[in-house]
Amino acid sequence: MQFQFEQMIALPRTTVFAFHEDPEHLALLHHGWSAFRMIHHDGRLHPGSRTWFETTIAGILPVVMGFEHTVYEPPHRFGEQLIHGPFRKFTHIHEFDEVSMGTMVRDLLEIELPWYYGDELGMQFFVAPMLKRAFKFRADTLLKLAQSSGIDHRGGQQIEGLQ
Amino acid sequence: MSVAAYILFILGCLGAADILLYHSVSHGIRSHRASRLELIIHSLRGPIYSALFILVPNFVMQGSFFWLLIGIFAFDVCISLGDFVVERASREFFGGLPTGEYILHIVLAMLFGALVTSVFYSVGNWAGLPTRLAYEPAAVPSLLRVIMVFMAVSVFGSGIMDLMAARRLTK
Repeated sequence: MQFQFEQMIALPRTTVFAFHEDPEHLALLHHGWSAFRMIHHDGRLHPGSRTWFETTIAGILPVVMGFEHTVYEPPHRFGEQLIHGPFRKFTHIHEFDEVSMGTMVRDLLEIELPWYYGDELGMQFFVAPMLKRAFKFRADTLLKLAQSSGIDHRGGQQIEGLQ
Repeated sequence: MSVAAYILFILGCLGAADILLYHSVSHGIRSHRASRLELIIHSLRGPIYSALFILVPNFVMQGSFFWLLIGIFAFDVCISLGDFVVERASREFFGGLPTGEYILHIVLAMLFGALVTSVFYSVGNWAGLPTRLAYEPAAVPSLLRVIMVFMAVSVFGSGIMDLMAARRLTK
């Protein structure tokens, strides 16, 4: 199953990309959402670097997922694929398009559950609604971070300052 | 043995939840190299619980067979202790066991104690009788005994999968 989430951020592409490429900011994007815990990351991302985190399903079941970064084309896109977790396939491409009002942040995901976890039905009734909630939360948090910083072209530094 | 059969059934359901939710979905230990030893220990539970799911609700075990049953219980205690010893290192990378798994393990341990106690209370003098293994089903619904046969096959299969995963992760 494929998913696409888009969000306009009124900041330059290099600033938005710089924020997203730091794995530490993954925790910042999920700050306040109890279902997220960073376990390990290899620092600034590059092809082959790995990020491990735990997310909690339905408030009771923690699920550890490990990703290896496969694509890194600054400031256009980067991506990762699942190396540990309950999915048969999980790829995530982050795209950053420069537009007149700032940057269009686009998340492209391709996710498949194995048959023993429900395959398409499990995706449709369980994973998809959860994923939409998670990306809504991320989008709201990113927007708040961008707006509260009041930044211009040096925004990346100021966003990092919010930590 | 009907009380023991019911307790064993609940124990089996919660054990299956532990394997499915925590060992598989939550931590995916069958693909985690540091969990090799834990997987080998878990694999020993396959034949142990397979035998219990078949024997407890269906058979009378007298003489030596009663002591065999006690031996199975004692071996399972050793498996649990070994599991506790290796789990810390096995799950260290994930930050330890999930809270729910800790709670589930405590409940499982209490149910195991209840199972052993109920067996001792219901067998009478099986230990002192001549050695005999006879098919005499406990007073529980036939459907429950059929389900427990399915559970026996499942837990045996799960044990084999654990052993195969441990072997794969060792290479």
